[in-house]
Amino acid sequence: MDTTTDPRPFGATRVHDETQLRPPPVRASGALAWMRKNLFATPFDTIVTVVTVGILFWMVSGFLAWGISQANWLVVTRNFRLFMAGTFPIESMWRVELTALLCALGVGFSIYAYLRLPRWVPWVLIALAAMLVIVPPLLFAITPPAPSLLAAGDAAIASGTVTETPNRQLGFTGRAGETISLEMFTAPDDGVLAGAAGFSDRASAALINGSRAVLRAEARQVELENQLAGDFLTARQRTAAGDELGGLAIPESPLEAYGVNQQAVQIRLLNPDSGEVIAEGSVELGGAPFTAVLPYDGWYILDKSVDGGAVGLLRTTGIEPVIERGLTSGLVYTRVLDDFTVVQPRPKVDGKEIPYVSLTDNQWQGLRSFTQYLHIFAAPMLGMLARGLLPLMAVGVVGWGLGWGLGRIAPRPERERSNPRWAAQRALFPVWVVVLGLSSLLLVGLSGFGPVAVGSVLARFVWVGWMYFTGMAFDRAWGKPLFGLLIIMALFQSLVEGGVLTGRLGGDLTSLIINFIFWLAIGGYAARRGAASRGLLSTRRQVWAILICAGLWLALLLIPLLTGTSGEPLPAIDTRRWGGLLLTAVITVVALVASFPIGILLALGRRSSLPLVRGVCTAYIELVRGVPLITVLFMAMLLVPLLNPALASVENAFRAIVGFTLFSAAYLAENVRGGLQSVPPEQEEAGRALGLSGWQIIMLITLPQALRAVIPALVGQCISLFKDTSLVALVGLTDLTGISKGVISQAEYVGLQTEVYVFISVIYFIFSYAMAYVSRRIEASGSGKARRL
Amino acid sequence: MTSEAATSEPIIVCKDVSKWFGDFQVLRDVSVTVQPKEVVVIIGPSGSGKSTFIRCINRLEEHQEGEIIIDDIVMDHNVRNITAIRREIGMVFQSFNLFPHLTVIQNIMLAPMNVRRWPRERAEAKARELLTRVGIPEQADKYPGQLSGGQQQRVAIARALAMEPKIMLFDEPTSALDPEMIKEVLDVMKELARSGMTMLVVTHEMGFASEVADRVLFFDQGRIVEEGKPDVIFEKPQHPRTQLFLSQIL
Ligand SMILES: Nc1ncnc2c1ncn2[C@@H]1O[C@H](COP(=O)(O)OP(=O)(O)OP(=O)(O)O)[C@@H](O)[C@H]1O
Ligand SMILES: [Mg+2]
Repeated sequence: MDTTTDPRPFGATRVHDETQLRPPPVRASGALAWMRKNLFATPFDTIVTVVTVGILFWMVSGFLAWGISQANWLVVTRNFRLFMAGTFPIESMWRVELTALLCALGVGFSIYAYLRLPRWVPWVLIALAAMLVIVPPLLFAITPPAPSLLAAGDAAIASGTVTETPNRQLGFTGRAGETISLEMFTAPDDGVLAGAAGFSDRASAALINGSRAVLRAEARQVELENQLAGDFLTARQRTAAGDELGGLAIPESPLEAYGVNQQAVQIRLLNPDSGEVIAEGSVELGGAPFTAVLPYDGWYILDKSVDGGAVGLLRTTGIEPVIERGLTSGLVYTRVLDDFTVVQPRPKVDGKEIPYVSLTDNQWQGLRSFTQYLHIFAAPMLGMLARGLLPLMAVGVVGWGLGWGLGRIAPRPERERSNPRWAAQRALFPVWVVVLGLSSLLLVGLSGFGPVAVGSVLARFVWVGWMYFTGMAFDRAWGKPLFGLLIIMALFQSLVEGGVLTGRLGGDLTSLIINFIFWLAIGGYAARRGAASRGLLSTRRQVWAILICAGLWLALLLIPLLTGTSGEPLPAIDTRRWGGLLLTAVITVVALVASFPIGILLALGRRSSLPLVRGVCTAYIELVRGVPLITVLFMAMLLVPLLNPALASVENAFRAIVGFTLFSAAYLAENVRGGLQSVPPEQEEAGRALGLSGWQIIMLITLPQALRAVIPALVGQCISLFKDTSLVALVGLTDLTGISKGVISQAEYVGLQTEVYVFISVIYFIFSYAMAYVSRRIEASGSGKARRL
Repeated sequence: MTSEAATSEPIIVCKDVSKWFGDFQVLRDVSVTVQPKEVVVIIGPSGSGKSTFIRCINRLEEHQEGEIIIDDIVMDHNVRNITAIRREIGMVFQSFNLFPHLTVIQNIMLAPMNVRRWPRERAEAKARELLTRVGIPEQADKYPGQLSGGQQQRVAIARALAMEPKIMLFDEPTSALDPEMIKEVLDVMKELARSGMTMLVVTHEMGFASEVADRVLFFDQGRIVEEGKPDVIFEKPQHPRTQLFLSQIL
C-alpha cells in the first residue's frame, strides 16, 4: 500500500477542503424504471410478480364473468331502500334522508377543519358528479333494450314435474311514445334455444329448459361413448358405463314436441279500459317483426294466439318486467329497469285480474352479454347511486364551505393568525352535537312534538349561544345578574317542555330535573368557552349578540306557545322499523359515543388507588372480555327484562345498543389503560410539582397523551364495532345483515344470497376503509401524534 | 445577598429529616435552614440522596421522620398544606418533563390557568414575558419535541416560574445536556439567582456553584457531611469524603 502520498505525519490535524455541494445523481424515473426496480429486479421477483398477477387475474376474471353475465343485481337495485333504512315508514323516509344530509354536512365541515385535501380533490369531485349525472341515462340510451321471451299457444309445456301453459293475455305497462316490437325467436336447433337470453315467462323458460335437458343428455351420451371407445376403464366401470348408455334416453326436443314457431302467431294489442284494439298483426318465422307505438301511459294487454296446438316463441322488446308493491295508498307497479311506475290497478278480464309481466314470473334466463349487463344493471345502479350520492356530495361541499366561511368571518386571536381553520376547529364539537342531536330527534321522533316543542328545542340552541356570549361578558357589571336570569329562564323552559310532553305544567318531576340539569350543563360549558374566548368580540358586538339571542329565544319559545299552533311534524317512530344501514349506523354511533366515557372511567378506575373501585372495574373488564359478544347480546335481549320487569318495555334496538356499549366499553378501557401506561410517570410528577390536582393531572396531562397514543387502536375498535353490529341479525334485528335475509325471502329474488352478500360486504368495506383512512390521516397529520421528547 | 438574608425569617426549615426506601435509609437526620433569596447548591456522590432530599421539599417524596416547614407551612398529610406548599415551589427536572402534547406556551400557561385560575390573557402575557426572559420568545408555538435540549430546559424553567414561586428546586438541570447547551441554561439560572430567587440546586457544575452559591452542602450517604461557603468548601474541604469527592470531580 502506498503510504507516501500523504506527507503529513499520522495524527496531525487535517483541515478538509470545502467540497462543492452537488445535486444528487440523476436516477432513472418513470413507469418503466419503477417496474424494473420494484417488480422485476431479480429473477425471483419476476416469478413472484408474474404468479401474483396470474392469480389476481384468475380470481378477478372469474368474479367479473359471474358479475356480468350471471349475477342478478336487480335484488340490489330494487331493494336499495331496504338496505339503507329497512322498513322505515316510507312517508317518513325524508327524515332518514335529512339525517344523512345532516351527517354529510358535518363530515364536510370536519374535513375542512382537519383534513388537508390534495389539490385534485375538487376536480375529482366535479368529474364524479358529472359522470353520475351524464353516464347513467347515456348508458341506458345507447345500449340495446333488454329482450323478453314470451311464449304463445295452447300447449302445456312440460318442465320437470310441472307443466306451463303460455298466457294468452298478458298485462304490461308502457309509456306513451314507446315502441314495442315482437318477432319470432329463431331457434333452428336446441343449442340456440338453450342459449337464449332474456327475461322469459314461465312457458318460454320451460322450452329453454327442455332444450337444455336435450343438450345435457347428448353431452353425456358422447362422453360415455368416448369412455367406452377408450381403454382406460376397468371392466366394472365399463359395464356401468354401458348400462348407463343403454338406459340413456335423449328427451324429445321441445322444438319438435311443441312445433315451436311452425305457425304464425296472431297478435293484438288492447286497451284494457275500453277493450279497444290498438294494433293487430301476426308474426311468422322469417317475417317482419310486429311493432306498435304506445299511445298512452299505463296498462296494456298483449293478446297472442297460435292456430292449432303449436307454440310460438316470441322475442320482444319494450315489454319489461314489473314489480308490484303495496303502499298505504294502494298497489303500485314499477318497471324494474327504468322505474316507470303505474298506479292504476292491474286490468281485469271477466272480473279476474289477468297475468302480467311480473318479475317473479319473468326472470332472466341465460347468460348476459356485456351490453345487456350495462343496460339492465350498470345504468340503473349508477342512476341509483347518483340519486343517493349527488345530494350527499353537494351537502358535504356546503358543509366544507360553511367551515371556510366561518374561518373568513369569525374573528380569531392574534396567536392563531396563521390558521384559517381555527374557527372551524373550535366549532367542530358543537357542530357535531347539533348534527347528532337533530339526527336522533329526526330518527326517534317525539309524540306530542308540535311546533311548541320544535320552537322550544330551537330556543334551547339559541339559549346555549346566549350563554356563550354572556360568558364573554361575564366580567361586566351586568354579566353576573344576566347569568342568573338565564338560569331562571332555562328552568322556565324546562317547565314548559315538561308541560308540552305530559300535558300539565312541569310534568313529571324527575324528567324536569334531568332536563334542567342537562341543559344547565351544556349552557355552563358554553359559558365557560365564552369566558375563555373573551375579547374576541368588541363590547358592542357582545351586547348585540346577547340582544339578538334574547329576541330569538323569546320568539321561538313564546310565539308557538301563544298562538297555540298544534300538529305533529315528527311523530314517534317505532324503533322496530329501523333497519338496514340506518340501524347499523345508529347502533355503531350511539354505542361508540356512549362507551367512550364509560371506557375511560373504567380505565381510570382500574388504575385507581382505591381497592374497591379498582376491584369492581377490573372485575367488570375481565368479565366482559371473557364473554363472547353474541352472548352479551343475547343477555341484553333476554336477561334484561328478567332483571327488572320495568326494563321489559325497552325496545330491542336499545337493548342491543346497551349490550354493545357495555361490551365496547370494556375493550376501550383496556386500550385506554395501555395508553395511560405508555405515559411516563415523570409526566405526572411534573404536574404534581406544578400544584395540579390529581384530577387535573389526569384530564390535562395523562389522558390526552394516552388517548393520542392509542388512536390507531381506538379506530380499530370503532371499525370492529361497526362490523360486529352484524351480530344483531342473530337476535332478530334487521340491520344491514339482518335485512338481507328479508330481501332474499321475497318471491322475486329467491336464492340470490350471493349478490346480496357481495353488496353488503362492499358497504361494510367502504365505511370501514373510510374510518381506517381517516385514522391514518390523523396519525400522519401529527395532531394525533404523541409528540415524545 | 447573604448578609441581609441571614437576619430574616428562614423560608425552608428541615429538622432531622429521615427517609427510608424499604429498609434502606436514604436520608439520615438532615437538618437545613434556608433564608429567602439564598442560593444553596447541593453536591455529593451518586446515590447519596440529593434528589430524594429536594423531592421531599415539595412532597414528590414523603419523609418519614423529622419536620419540614416551608414558608411557615408545616408539611404533613394535610392535602391543603401540600397544595399550598407546591404553589410556592417550582421544580426543574433533569429530564425536563415538558408536556409533549402541548405547545411551549401552553406548557407554561397550564398551571397558572388551572391552579391559580388566572384568565387566559394574564397567563399568556406572563408566559410570553417568561419566554423572553429565558431567551426564546420565538419558540412559543412550537411543540417541545421540536426544541433542542437546552431550549427545552429553559422552557421548563419558564414553566416553573409561571406560578410565581418563592422557591425554585433544580435537580441536575444540566446533566442531560450537551456542553454547548449547558451554558445557556446556567446563564438563565444565574440571572434568576441574581434576581433574588431562593434556589436549591443539585448540580455538578462547580463553576456555577462558586459563582452564585451562597452555601454549598455536601451530601454523602444520606447525610450532610460538610457545608459552607463555596470557596471554602472547594478550596479547603475539611472532611475526607469531601476531599475525595472533589479530587475526583475537579
Ligand atoms: N423509588 C426508590 N425506591 C428505592 N430506592 C430508591 C428510590 N429512589 C432512590 N432510591 C435509592 O435511594 C438512594 C438515593 O437516591 P437519589 O436519587 O436521591 O440519589 P442522588 O444523590 O440523587 O444520586 P444521583 O447523583 O445519581 O442522581 C439511591 O441509593 C437510590 O438507589
Ligand atoms: Mg439525583
